[in-house]
Amino acid sequence: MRLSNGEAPQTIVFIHCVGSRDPSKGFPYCSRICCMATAKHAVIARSKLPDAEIFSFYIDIRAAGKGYEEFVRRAIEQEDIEFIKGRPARVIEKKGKLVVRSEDAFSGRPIEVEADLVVLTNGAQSQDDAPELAQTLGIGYDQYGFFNELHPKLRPVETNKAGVFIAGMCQGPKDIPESVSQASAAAVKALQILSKDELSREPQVAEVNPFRCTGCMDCMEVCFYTAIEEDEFMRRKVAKVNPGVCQGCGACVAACMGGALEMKIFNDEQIYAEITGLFAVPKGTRGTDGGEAAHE
Amino acid sequence: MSKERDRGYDPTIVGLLCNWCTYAGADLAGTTRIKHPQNMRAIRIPCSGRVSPHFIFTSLFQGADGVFIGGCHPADCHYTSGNYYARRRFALMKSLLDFVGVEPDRLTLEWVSASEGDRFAEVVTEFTEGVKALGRPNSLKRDGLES
Ligand SMILES: Cc1cc2nc3c(=O)[nH]c(=O)nc-3n(C[C@H](O)[C@H](O)[C@H](O)COP(=O)(O)OP(=O)(O)OC[C@H]3O[C@@H](n4cnc5c(N)ncnc54)[C@H](O)[C@@H]3O)c2cc1C
Ligand code: SF4
Ligand code: SF4
Repeated sequence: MRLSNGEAPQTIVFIHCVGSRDPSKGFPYCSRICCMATAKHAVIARSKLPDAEIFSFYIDIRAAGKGYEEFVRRAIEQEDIEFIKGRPARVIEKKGKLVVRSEDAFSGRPIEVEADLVVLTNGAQSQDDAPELAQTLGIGYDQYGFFNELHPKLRPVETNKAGVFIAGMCQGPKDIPESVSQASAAAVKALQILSKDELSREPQVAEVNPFRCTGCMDCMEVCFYTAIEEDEFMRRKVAKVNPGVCQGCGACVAACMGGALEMKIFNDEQIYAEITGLFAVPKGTRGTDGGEAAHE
Repeated sequence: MSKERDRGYDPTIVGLLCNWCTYAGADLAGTTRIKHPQNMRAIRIPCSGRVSPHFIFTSLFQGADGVFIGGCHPADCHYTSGNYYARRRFALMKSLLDFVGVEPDRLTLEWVSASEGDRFAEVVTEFTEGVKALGRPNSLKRDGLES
């Protein structure tokens, strides 16, 4: 039903990628769900309006998923939805109709459709306050406000903050099956923590020597994982590393001017020993010829 | 400052290589049999952001002819931002070296991913050649520092 006049539309136009895949007018990314959602909506419209003319303007159809391509084929071949490759330049209102002007990339000619109803498939976008939430949680987010996973391939539902997991659209545009897969994975990751009486962690973490720490908190600034907190030691402020959160990158160790921070693995002593060891080899045997460099 | 310039010499280069990218890139260069000069000694570190200026000075005091830092490409850091800290410190280190009379070209920072064995060989070759041309020793080398 067309809301403005309550009548059933006879001509319906769907326009794909409105605000997506176009850095000059919206977002550069593909919103991923719209090709399939539009095909679905067009098929539903067909079931309600068997005699309507239904058009769908697209840049290209992204139907990568189990059964997705087949669904789009069905919309085209059995449901008589006319898919036209082209990006409409404008929609003009004319005598109660909406005139959609576009090119038809296959024929190379301009095309005009007088529609009763135009449906724009708007680009998916993150919630406005997503950065605020990310900052509250101490997790990373990208320039579009989508939360960052810890590793795109190997740690897709973890974040840079241990114990905070992400799933679904907050991480980036995706459909329901993908959201559910991620959510299931995130739930299991959370259970991994909750089902144990004791947490195990990597031994590679940083540690503050409170006697040396001046409490400048420079280390806190560089810790991407927010693993460093303020603490009190002998009635003064010092830094403290939460070893359950620390990922062992060593950025804080290099940043601490006073040498109060140290890693448990890759510590200064080990690295200095490696460096000086290189030069402790008797002269003449060092370098390419001798081959008995002390390292490893 | 007069310096003995031994053009044919074999420099010793300290390589501080990030575990997640350059160290693996070096491995790949090896397993795929890509040739490059063998002057660099690899020291594995968790992240280029772990490199403290002290490591660089210690290497130079000990007599390193060059120091090579290898990290993940911008935006690819395993720890998200360590390489950016490394980059900032590197810029400061370069001017500090200049200030204390060491050729800044004795220090380099390169981004090499775990899949870039060929790039590893390329940048190591280039750096080694550059360091060779600078001659030895570096002006910070101190004798009797061996521990
Ligand atoms: C028009 C359209 C059609 C679609 N059709 C399909 C389809 O046919 N098939 C398909 O697989 N997918 C489809 N999708 C995609 C699908 O909707 C998403 O994949 C799915 O909703 C993602 O689920 P989610 O839980 O990640 O996010 P959402 O469903 O968006 O849920 C997020 C929830 O978090 C709440 N929230 C946000 N911020 C806060 C906060 N700070 N505090 C508390 N709560 C908060 C929100 O109110 C919301 O309820 C379609 C999407 C659109 C827009
Ligand atoms: S940088 Fe060093 S001295 Fe400053 S707060 Fe951190 S541990 Fe303490
Ligand atoms: S080692 Fe890295 S993660 Fe751990 S406290 Fe230091 S900066 Fe944070």
